[in-house]
Parts: sequence; structure tokens; C-alpha cells
Amino acid sequence: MFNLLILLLLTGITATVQAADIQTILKQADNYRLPQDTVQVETSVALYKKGKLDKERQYSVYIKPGRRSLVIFNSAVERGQKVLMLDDKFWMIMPKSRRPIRITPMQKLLGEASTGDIATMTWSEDYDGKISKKVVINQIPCLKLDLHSIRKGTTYARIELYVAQDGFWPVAANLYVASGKLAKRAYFSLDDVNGRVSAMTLFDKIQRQRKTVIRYLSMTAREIPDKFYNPMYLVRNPVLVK
Amino acid sequence: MSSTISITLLLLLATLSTQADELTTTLRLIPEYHQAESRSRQELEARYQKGGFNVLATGVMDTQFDNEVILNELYYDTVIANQEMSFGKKIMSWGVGYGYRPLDVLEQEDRRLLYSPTLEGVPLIAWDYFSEGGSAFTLAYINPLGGQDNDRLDQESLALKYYGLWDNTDIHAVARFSRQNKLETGIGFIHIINENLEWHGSALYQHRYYKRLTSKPFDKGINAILGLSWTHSNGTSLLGEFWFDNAANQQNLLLRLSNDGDSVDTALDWLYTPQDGGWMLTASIKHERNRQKLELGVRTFGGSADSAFRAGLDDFVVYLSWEIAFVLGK
Repeated sequence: MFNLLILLLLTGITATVQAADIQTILKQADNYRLPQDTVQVETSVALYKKGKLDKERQYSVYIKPGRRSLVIFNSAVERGQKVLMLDDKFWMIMPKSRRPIRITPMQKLLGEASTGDIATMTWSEDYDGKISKKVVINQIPCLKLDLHSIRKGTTYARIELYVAQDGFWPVAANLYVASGKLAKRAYFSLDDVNGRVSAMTLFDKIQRQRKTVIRYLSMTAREIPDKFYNPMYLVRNPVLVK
Repeated sequence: MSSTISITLLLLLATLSTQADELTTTLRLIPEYHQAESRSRQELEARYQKGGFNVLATGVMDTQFDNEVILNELYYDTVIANQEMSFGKKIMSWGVGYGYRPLDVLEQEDRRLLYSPTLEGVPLIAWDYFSEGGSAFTLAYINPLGGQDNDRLDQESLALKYYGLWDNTDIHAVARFSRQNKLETGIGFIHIINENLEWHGSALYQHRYYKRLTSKPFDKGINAILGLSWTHSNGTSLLGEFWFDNAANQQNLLLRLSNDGDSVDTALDWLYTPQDGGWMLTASIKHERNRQKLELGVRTFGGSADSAFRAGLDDFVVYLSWEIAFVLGK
């Protein structure tokens, strides 16, 4: 009985240590994608079909702490569209409708590029899990992290994240939707100069001919007023000078 | 008169475009083939924004109407003594719902049209207030120059809108007071049930209302809608809505099945009016490129021979819409 108690205690301690480790690793991995928590990210998305460039889209993303993100669509054909994310709540503003349309987390996945992939650039606040094993990916020794969502409204319910053993920078990820299906496989590229993630390449596992390359063109510390995160304020079509 | 002003503005914009903060132009070609006669519509829409100054104008060539330039919007958004103000002509599209929005008291957009043109705004002076908690209030004095017309867009009115996020539910409330309708007031919501599912509803009370196509007033009416939509991770969505519209004295049931696909988006809409047993079925397919959008659709009417949908000239309509957009400036 006493031994069992010790064992339970030890298991508990080990679990706590590992949980803390996971969050430390995730925070470090996040730093390679989003080094500041209040930032403006200029993003380009290239959609490839059967290896050929099909479409290109441009977005400005304004991220603030508290899981707040505002995505401004800059391409000619999508001009005037905006997506606002506040925690697990999402609104879409279409130029013709001039009113915020509340959408479900699943509706946010629709469209040319999944807005969730563009607007959310961190794992540590949304996921938790454990280190499952050591593997080598593209000749890089990695730790495989089995992560599950700990919040409502996350784009993926489960993630297998591969981070480099040396430095914990993200190398690859398998992204699973709530139904348990593998939706996408992601590969991360690092910038030679600043060492940050400069691009994320997504291979669609549901639509197999499809590849999406998300490039982070610039990242500037920029804070926009809180009222921009009110869905009704966005209908006023406020100007955000780049 | 407004056409002349709009044309002058468009010309002015074209000459200023190199210094423009941002000018977006969209060209649309919308040919329709009706059983009774064919129709073609071409639109050139220009949107210009510099700071709080906004202009939206559309030049329209339509085989069924005279050519015209519509000044959809011309307004100035500014902050005076910390208050968010708007002056000019502005689109005020309110409420929740897909097929019909009872709370859309100012624009009353007709959502059953085959092709929805860009809305035309209303002249106004408006004050917006945004609270730190995420609520928003709008108080607008519409048509301050005193519109007396039967056309709702031209009527002088006072309108109030409230928006708030209550837990996981969006709440919308509106009130409008005009000489023609007296008080109209309503409330609506949209609630997210889970990852895939949402439901929404709204109801509007009108102290006085008018039947469509007549000017005879009626007292105390209710317009209401209740709807549900479900979206799967493969891009398929199902929407169901049921509403009652006083002006048409008609109940409506809309079922919409749509798919957001890899290269094309498809949709099938079935609108049924149970009181007269008529229905309208619309199938459409959409494709988007870098600058262009292409849509092809077919609409057919059926049901009871004396229903409103069967009373039209056509049994079916085929339409195509091609759109190309350019952004200049910045």
C-alpha cells in the first residue's frame, strides 16, 4: 500500500515535470514563429495544385495577447474582407454585406486559405501533451510531441509536432481535425539571417493534390487600439496604414 | 442630378488615382438568359478611400433599364470630441439571417434576387459608440433633409441599433421611427452551439406596415425568422431557415446545400412558400482566380399552378457572372 502511494506520488511528480517541459518546449517553438505577442504580420499565401501555382493571396494579420487576431484580406478579389478572432469566437466581414457575420469554428476553415492557419501562430496557450519519442526528420534529430487542444475553437483538435532536439525549433507537424482525420502535414522553413520561421508549407491530406505555402514576409511590433477587435467597429471600414 | 455628381466624382477619382490612398475597381458582366427574353447587365464599380473619406459608385448598363451611375456611398467617418461620427450617404445593413433579415430596417435588401447588386446607402448623420466590453450602439438620423417618399430609402427616420456579445451569443436589437411606419422595433440572436452548428433568429414588430406592391397601410405586424446551419470539415454546409414576411403576407422555407470545394464552390437553394405551394430552385457553381470570379447558375420555378413563383413569365433562367477586380494605390 505504502509502495503504491510512493509510486502514485512519483508518477504525479513525473507527469508535472513533463507537463512543465512540454509548455517550455512549446513556448520556445512559438518564439521561432511569433517572437512578440503584439505584432503585425504581412503574409502571402500561394496555393499549388498538382505542383503548379494556382492562386496567390495576401493578408495582414494583427495579433494581440488574449488570443485576439484580426485578418485583413488584401488581394483584389477578396478586398474588404476581414476575419476577427476573439478567443474561440469568430466573425467575418464581407465588403458587400457591411455587417459582422458570426461564424462557427468550422466555417473559419473554409475559403481559399484556412484563416485559422494564418491567424494563429502559437501552440503554447492552446495545446498540451507529452513527448512521445525521438525521431529523425529530414536528417534533423527531433522530439515528437503528441499534443491535444486544451481550448475551444482551436483549428486542430490534435497535433503531432516535431521540434528539433537542439533548440526546439519547429520542423514538421501533422494536424488532425476534431473527427480524428489527418487534415494537413506542415513543414517549417527557417530564415538564414534571423533564424525565425519564414514559411510554413502545408500538404492537404483531404484534398491530396493541394499544397499551400504560407510565407511570413514581415513582422513588426505594432499595437492597434482595442476597438479594432470589436466586430461592429470593423464595419466602419477603418484604415490601417501599413 | 445625383448621376451628374457621381460621374464627376468618378472622373475626379480617375485623375486622382495615382495619389489615391486606395482605389478598387471591379468590372462585372452578368448576362442572363430568360425563357421570355434575354437580359444583360454590365457594371463598373469604383471604391475610393482616403482616411475617413469613402466613395462607392457604380456605372450600370442594363438592357432592361436606362444606363445610370449610382452613387452607392459618399461619406466621411471622423472622431469629434472622442465620439465616432459619420456624415453622408452610407450603406447600413443590419440584422441576422441568410435568406431574409427582419432587422434590416434601413436597407431592406431583397435576398431572393438572382444577382444581388451592391446596396445603395442612405443619407445620414450617425453616432457610433463602442464599449470596452465589446458592445456597440449606433444612433442615426436618416434623410435629415426630410424625405417624404414612399420609397423606404428616401424616408426621414431615426434609427437605433445595439450589438452585444452575451456569453457565446451575438445579440442584435434595432428600433426605427418614421412618419410612414411609426415605431418598428426588433431583436435577434446568433448562437454557436458547437464547432459545426449555429442557430439564429430575429423578430421585428411594426406599428404600421405596407403590403408589397400596394400603398395601403396595415396596423401591428410581425416579421420573424428562425434558422440553423451546419458545416462539415469537408466544406459541405446545410442551412435551413423559416420566416414570415408581413409585406408579402407569405411564409417561406429555405433549404440550402453548399460545398466549399478545392477549385469550385457549389450551392443548391430551394425556397418553398407553403401557403400557395410554389417553389424556386437555384443551382450555382463559382470559381475564383487571382483577380477574377466566375459564377454560373440556373433557376427554375415550380409547384402549384396559381402560386406566386409560377405566376412569373419564366419557367427557368440561366445566368453567368464574370467579375474582375483591380486595386490601385497604397
